[in-house]
Amino acid sequence: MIDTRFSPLILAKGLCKRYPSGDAWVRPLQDADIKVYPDQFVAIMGPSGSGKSTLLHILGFLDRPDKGAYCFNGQDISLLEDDALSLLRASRVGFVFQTFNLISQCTLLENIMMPFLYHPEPPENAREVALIALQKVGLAERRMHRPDQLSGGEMQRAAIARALVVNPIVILADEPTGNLDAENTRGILKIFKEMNENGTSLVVVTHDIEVARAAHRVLFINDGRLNE
Amino acid sequence: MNRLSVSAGKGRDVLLQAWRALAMHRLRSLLSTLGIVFAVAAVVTMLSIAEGAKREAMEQVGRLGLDSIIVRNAMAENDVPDLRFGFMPEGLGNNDIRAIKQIPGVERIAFAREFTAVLPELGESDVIHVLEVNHDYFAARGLRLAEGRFISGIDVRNRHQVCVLGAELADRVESPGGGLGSIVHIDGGPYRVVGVLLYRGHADNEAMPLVLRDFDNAAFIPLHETEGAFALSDEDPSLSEIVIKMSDSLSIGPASAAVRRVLSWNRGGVENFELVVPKELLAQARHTQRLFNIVLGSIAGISLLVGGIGVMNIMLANVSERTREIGIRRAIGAKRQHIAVQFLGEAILLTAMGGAAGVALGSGAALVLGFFIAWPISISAWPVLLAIFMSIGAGLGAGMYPALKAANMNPVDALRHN
Repeated sequence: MIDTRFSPLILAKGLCKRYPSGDAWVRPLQDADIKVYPDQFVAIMGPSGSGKSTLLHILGFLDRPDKGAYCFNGQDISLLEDDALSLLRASRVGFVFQTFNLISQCTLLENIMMPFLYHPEPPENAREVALIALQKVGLAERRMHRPDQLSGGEMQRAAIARALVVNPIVILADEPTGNLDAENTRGILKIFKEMNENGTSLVVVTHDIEVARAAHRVLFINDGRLNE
Repeated sequence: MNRLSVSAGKGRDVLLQAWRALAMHRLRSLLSTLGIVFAVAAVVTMLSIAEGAKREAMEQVGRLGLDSIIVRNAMAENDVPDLRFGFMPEGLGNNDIRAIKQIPGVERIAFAREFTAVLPELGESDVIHVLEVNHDYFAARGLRLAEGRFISGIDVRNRHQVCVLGAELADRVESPGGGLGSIVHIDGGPYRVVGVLLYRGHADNEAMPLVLRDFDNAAFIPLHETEGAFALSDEDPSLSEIVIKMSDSLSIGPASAAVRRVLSWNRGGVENFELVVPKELLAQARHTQRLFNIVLGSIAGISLLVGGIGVMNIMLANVSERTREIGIRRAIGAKRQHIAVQFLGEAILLTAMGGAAGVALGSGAALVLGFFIAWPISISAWPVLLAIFMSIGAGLGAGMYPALKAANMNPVDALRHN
């Protein structure tokens, strides 16, 4: 039995990934190692096309590495089937994207409640839980609005509410402030810090130096390898 | 219970989201279902008309009695008799009745002689059909009384000058006192009206010309017997109809063959009569109905196929447009099956709504046709259920490929899709 208090939440070694691109192969990850402990706020920085998003997709089980080992919360991910990975995403991981990725035809409240559709044990009071999540990001009043009625900052706060509504152990964010101005960036960072203080680990891919400053650790990715 | 209510809640949410997704492109969704709407409407309309016609045909055949055989005078198809058998009788007569009585299983025989006459009470130009009948005829043909009584055995034996009128004829007769007890003049003789038949609906239905007479405009008088013997002589075979009641409907098949044989024998092989067997007519009507249903089913199937292809086309466009949404759903925990159910649900919702609209349109069209063209219409539950099941089936068929395509998308590629 692994004691997760002292074990890494995320432990990946020798991750490799390559994609075909025309006649050549693109290799965004080459022998990348990463270790994230519970309650940590880790920022990953690097130039465009350096493999940051690919790493995040592998860490969130949306993609599988071609080579290397990855253990999440003590579980060897390579042993899990697609459905088991979906279940893990639904209950343990929250995603935040640069482009917010809210479902345009649903109201804000429906967007926030959506993860419960796929959660193995959704709460009976899912609506109330979703409203609390919206309150945490200051959007309770806008619950019946559709995404296209919100500003960029509001949409990103809503996306964060959707990520935290299932109480995940880690949030994986892909350039969450990339489309936001300085004020909205500060607002998002404030929410991230509160979440982290409440025990949620954060792995944030970013170009933003403010986000990097707020993190406990900053990892740099270059030529598919990670350095601290 | 808790798990059940959570599942119900999820089902409701999936439906709600399917509705939202379809509502995003209202006009496109509406147009894509038109094929299903018209296919279902056509099926419901045709089935309602077919069912109405079937019920009426069954009712008419049923009125004749499934345990009876009707023999009617007819033009001979081959009027050259075999002279070894002697003369060829022109109508049905005593010889025929005696021969039919020998057939096993025959319980009763009713008969009628038909002629036309002027009824002065209607005016000189109005000619009516008069049926001289024995007292068993009314029961044998399933006729029912509106008022009064039928012609009885006593009337026949005692040569009573009484008559029974069809419902419409009774309405048209203007005699002093009118109705029961009044006197009408048939073929010059006075007859007292003792009964009026219940309105039956006459035989202008092209599907049943052999079976039905216009009883509503006919007058019935006794066919006299003398000294217990049939009034007609063997040399005067002028009956127009013989109704044979069998003891049970099982013996109808062999009995009808035997009747045909003896009547043919009596006529030297010339069939100047026609045999109407209600049980065979019923079987024939059912067979025709089955064929009709197969044709209808094929038309409906082709229509639904065309409608389904339209829905599949739209669903494929939906999947393509919402690729990023598929990636988002996978990222927040949706399994492949959740994605498949989502898109399949949309396709089924689309066709089910089309089916419901088609049922309403088809029922409305059937009622309008029934009202304006006076066709018998019967809107029963099974065509409606069939149409709804068929439209749901079309949704399932049309939505399966797009749903599987959506479910099998790589989530990373889907998320990167613009």
